[in-house]
Amino acid sequence: MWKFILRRVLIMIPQLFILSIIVFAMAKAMPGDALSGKVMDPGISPERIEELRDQMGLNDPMHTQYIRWISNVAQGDFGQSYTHKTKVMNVIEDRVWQTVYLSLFTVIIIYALAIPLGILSGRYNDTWIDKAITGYTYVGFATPTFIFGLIVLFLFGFTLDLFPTGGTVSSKVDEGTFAYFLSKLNHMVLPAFSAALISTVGVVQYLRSEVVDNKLKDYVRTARSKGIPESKVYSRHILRNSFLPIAAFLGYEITGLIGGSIIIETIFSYPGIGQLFVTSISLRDFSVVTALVMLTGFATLLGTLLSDIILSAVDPRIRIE
Amino acid sequence: MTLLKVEDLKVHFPIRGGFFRTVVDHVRAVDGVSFELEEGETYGLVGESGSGKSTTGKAIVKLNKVTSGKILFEGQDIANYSSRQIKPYRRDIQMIFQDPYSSLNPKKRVLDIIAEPLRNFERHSPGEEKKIIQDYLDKVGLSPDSIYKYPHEFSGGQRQRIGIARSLTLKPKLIIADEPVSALDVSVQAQVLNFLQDLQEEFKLTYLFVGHDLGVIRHMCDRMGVMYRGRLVEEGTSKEIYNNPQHIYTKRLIAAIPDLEPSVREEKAIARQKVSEEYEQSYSKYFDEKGRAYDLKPISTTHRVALP
Amino acid sequence: MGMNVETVTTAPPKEISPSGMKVIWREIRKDRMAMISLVVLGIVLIAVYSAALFIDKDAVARVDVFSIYMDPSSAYWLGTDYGGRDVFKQLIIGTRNSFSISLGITVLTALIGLSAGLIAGYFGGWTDNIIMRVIDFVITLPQMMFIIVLVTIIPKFTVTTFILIMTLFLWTGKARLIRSKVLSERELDYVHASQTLGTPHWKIILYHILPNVSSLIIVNFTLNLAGNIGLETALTFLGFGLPESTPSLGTLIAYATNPEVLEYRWWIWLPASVMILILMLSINFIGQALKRAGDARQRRG
Repeated sequence: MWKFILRRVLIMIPQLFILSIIVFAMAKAMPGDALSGKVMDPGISPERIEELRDQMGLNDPMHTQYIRWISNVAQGDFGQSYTHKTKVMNVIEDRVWQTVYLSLFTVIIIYALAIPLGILSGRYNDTWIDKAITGYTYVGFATPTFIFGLIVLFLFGFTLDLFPTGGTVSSKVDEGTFAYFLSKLNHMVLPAFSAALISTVGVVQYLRSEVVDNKLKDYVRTARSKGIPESKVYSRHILRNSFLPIAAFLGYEITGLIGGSIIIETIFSYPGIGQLFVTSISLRDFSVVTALVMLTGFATLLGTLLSDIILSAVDPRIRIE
Repeated sequence: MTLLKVEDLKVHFPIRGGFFRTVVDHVRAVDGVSFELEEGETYGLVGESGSGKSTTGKAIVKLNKVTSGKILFEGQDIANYSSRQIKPYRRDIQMIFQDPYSSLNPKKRVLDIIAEPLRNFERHSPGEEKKIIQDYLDKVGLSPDSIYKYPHEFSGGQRQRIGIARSLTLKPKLIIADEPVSALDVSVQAQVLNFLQDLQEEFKLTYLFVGHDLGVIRHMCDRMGVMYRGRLVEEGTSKEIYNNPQHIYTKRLIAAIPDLEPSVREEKAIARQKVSEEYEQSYSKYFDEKGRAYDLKPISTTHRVALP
Repeated sequence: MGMNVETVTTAPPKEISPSGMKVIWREIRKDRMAMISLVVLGIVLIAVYSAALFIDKDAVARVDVFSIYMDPSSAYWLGTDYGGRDVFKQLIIGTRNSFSISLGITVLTALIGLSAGLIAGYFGGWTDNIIMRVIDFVITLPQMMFIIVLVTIIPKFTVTTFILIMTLFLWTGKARLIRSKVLSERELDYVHASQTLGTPHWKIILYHILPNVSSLIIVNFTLNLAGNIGLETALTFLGFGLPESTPSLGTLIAYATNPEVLEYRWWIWLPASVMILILMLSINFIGQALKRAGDARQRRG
């Protein structure tokens, strides 16, 4: 087990290295550099800018620039954001937590929906309730998040006016109070549910087929033939076998949500990193973009690492390869 | 004349392990096997599953990579030939597979299945090709009309006949039959076996017959080799092996053949018991300290046994 | 399939033909949702592609300051947008563009994924190792971010470059799927038989293994097509999809980022959204039916 984890972590090192090279190459390919903002300034002569470039090492050979960049990145220094006029990390730090809250809330809804739906659908397969649930999964599978999000926003945000249509918290409440917390939750309801109702579909389908497969297996029959009540057969035997892989998908799920945050946060004007990414790229604030790509890439690698490790802990067959 | 000579053949599969997935050990599937096939004879390789008999057969047709040793076909060592060099020999050495279900491509018609080797080596007009295929179908006892059918429309025995027809089209000299009847019903087994013998006469074939069923091997083979853990433990004519087994493993194998005669049941059980005891006691005499069988030593002109 | 009640109770056919197409057709005909989907998709596509022939693309793209934000009328069936352009005509052109481009992406990813999967699965060893390392890496990247960044930094951005960028990231899933199927397929004796019969590797791959993984390819192709429509329109919606000269369904929906349009002018964005849903749902239903047809255990007849 420890060998597997260690090997899996070691695989991440070259992956991280390649990721950093790709991101660095992208950053270099992006139009403009740290001085682009100043180029517009007529008070600075082109000679002066060239001088500044030299000073900042922008004319050094690529590999020296890369090494300087990566050692800064390792210390969390992604340079300055020219739109926010502050360090990139400060900009991101503010937003990251919003996305983390939203993702957590979404994951909770995903599992809160998927577990009962998947079990019901699997336990009573081919009844009307299963048909209704599989019908939902088919439609959910085919619906893009951004369209669902827009319709939700249109119906519940605007037409019915039940929930706020943007932001993370109402300006009328004070920080630290319970009302503040409620207001935050209230702002997360629409984006979280829009994302969760679509994303939960995969988990429901997986859980259903697990339950359907397992309930005909010999160990379940044995349990039944011993006279264990049906409800216990499900709670003690089938679920234990079906749950663990589901739990292990958590890492992949979070990874997916970070990617999906771009769409959801844009639609619901929710100031997290997804929205920051889109606005930064529109405003050509590429130092922020580079930082976000690098950090998200790192987070995704960690997410898959986490899931792989949980999966291998759950299912020893995976370790053998 | 010697058609095939296998010399000290070894097929090892690496076992990877440890932290960097390096090769830590090898599975010695075939570990130094030597035998010869005369033209026109049927040679049997018997042994339990995992003894390396199939691996030996597959190594000869290059489905398994040879680790070391020689495979001399008509005097040419083909053991390390590249896939281009081996191509001309593909015509001469053909294989019949164990599982008649997976050995025929389910998406192909009988015509295309049997014509596959022909198309690789010879040029025929579609009309000629059809004629040839129908001839072979007729020879293996299937209706010539079945060329447009798919494999799933046939029974296991019929499918095996299709596989046999496919292996015959290039007029090979040597056919390696890898348990050709073990997947078939007993009632069909005899049919297919007799039919293989008829074909042998007609096409002057040499068979390397791989199997675990001693009854089948005795019925088919002139000579045979008994394999155990990747090594030959005894080799001789079928008669010698059956009537005068020398190696303790061969003795056990022969004792295990069921007898249909109820009156001798008691007798057989006692004999089996005796062999089993002998096996336990004298195991160390027949195998070295690593559990590996010794090299073969001749005890007569045809009979060789692995003794220390 | 869960939604329709099965009423067909004909006896199972005596002969199960392996010729894939026949089985697939029979499955779809038996599946009411898939059949409806096929008809709907057919009608929509024929209507859109033929209507697009009669629409002057340049006229649709022309800004007309005298007819900004008009409500639906007999002249403008779905009203006009902020530039006074006919929304209905944009819907037709957009549907055509979105579908064609998604199809292009799907075809290209299928070709690349298929080749990579077949080669990796059949030859195994270090070939497989290299291809799989690449796939594992690309799959773990935050793809949407990378696509958006690439779309922004590419100097001459056209429909072709868009298709190429999408393909760069999307071939991997297919390759992995095909590879695992080929891995199990190549261990079957019919492949061994072909090898001993002197059939060259490329022929074994193309004529023996490929037909046996074809149903998987078809199913995956259909599901990907639906997925790619969603992805393309989502990217265009965000402003990083098709270039402006090529309006997509996402372009119309992007107008809804203006709350004014979202709340009071639903006829601009809702029809395009519904169109995407219709396309994706019907293609998905067909794909699910194909999947059942390919999987003998789930077959209904």
